[in-house]
Amino acid sequence: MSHELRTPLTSINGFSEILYDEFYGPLNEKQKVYVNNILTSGQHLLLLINQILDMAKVEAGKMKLALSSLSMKRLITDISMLVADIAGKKKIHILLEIAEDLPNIEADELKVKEIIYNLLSNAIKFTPEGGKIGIRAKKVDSQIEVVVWDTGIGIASENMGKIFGGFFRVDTPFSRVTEGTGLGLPLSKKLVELHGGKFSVESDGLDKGTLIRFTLPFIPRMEGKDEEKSFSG
Amino acid sequence: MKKKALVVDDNGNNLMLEQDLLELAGFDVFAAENAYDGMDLARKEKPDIIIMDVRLPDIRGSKAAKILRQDKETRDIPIVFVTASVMAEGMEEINDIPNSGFIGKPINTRTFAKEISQFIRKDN
Repeated sequence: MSHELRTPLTSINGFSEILYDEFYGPLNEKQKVYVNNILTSGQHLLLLINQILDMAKVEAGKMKLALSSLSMKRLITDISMLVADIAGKKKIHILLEIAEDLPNIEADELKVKEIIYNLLSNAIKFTPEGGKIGIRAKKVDSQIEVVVWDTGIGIASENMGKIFGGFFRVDTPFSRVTEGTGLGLPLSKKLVELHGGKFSVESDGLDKGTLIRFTLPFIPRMEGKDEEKSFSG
Repeated sequence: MKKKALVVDDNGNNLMLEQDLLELAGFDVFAAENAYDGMDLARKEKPDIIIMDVRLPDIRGSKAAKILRQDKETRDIPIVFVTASVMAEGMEEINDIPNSGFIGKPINTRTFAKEISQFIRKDN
């Protein structure tokens, strides 16, 4: 199925990208705006499709982990640098607190990167200009505990139950609903659990910031075909 | 002299996209929509590089590559697979093909021709 969904999007994104880059001649102002709209919508749709397919794959117990030895310290630093640009535009400070004795862990590098990227970009998205976000990592027993926090808009208590449902998004003065997919958080949770870790969200309420805490065991605890709760509920 | 590239993809739109990008980058491009036509063109034109979809209507791209590897006329042409499944499960069938590489789908139009060129430089 994934092939069927992605192939038409390859055309939509590819051709509009070439038009936008004006390889075959200049566009007028209006044309440029229109083509850019096609392109950003296509890219958004591709992200959405990728996340939905990943979600479905985890749900079906078919997501496999490609394990390797990971330096979490390096990985966190790399991704913080990756998002530093977007944070800089909003004059948001990123605080890094990584324990010196943080050991390497066995984990799926791409998936751990995706988790941390999702959480950091959420933190930036939901934090007003001039705010702070941070990431902490330390060793707790035979696991690494990572905390991503922000001084942003927080989560109203009535919405706490909805954020893992998928497609839940809030419109804020700092971000448009169209920016996200609403799947980054539930998918991150699934990917953490796939490694045998735990994932939780804390917020004291609206405008009180958000704190996300997750753990990754040094060596993943594969749970086999454990019955997972449905994310559609 | 212009470098020759052969693109094999059964999806007409993908084929056009890849062909246009390579032509813009200065390649002479030959195109085929199935593996057997692609292999015929490879023997006839002896391209500097072959860009191949993994799923083709007649035989899989990986199978076609193995056939090309047995022919001394086409044995040394680098082959780049364009594949949607860059995950470990899908890679096994192309891993043991010498002088080959892969690019994940969807392709990045801004870097595609450059990525392809690197496969030629690296292997010649």
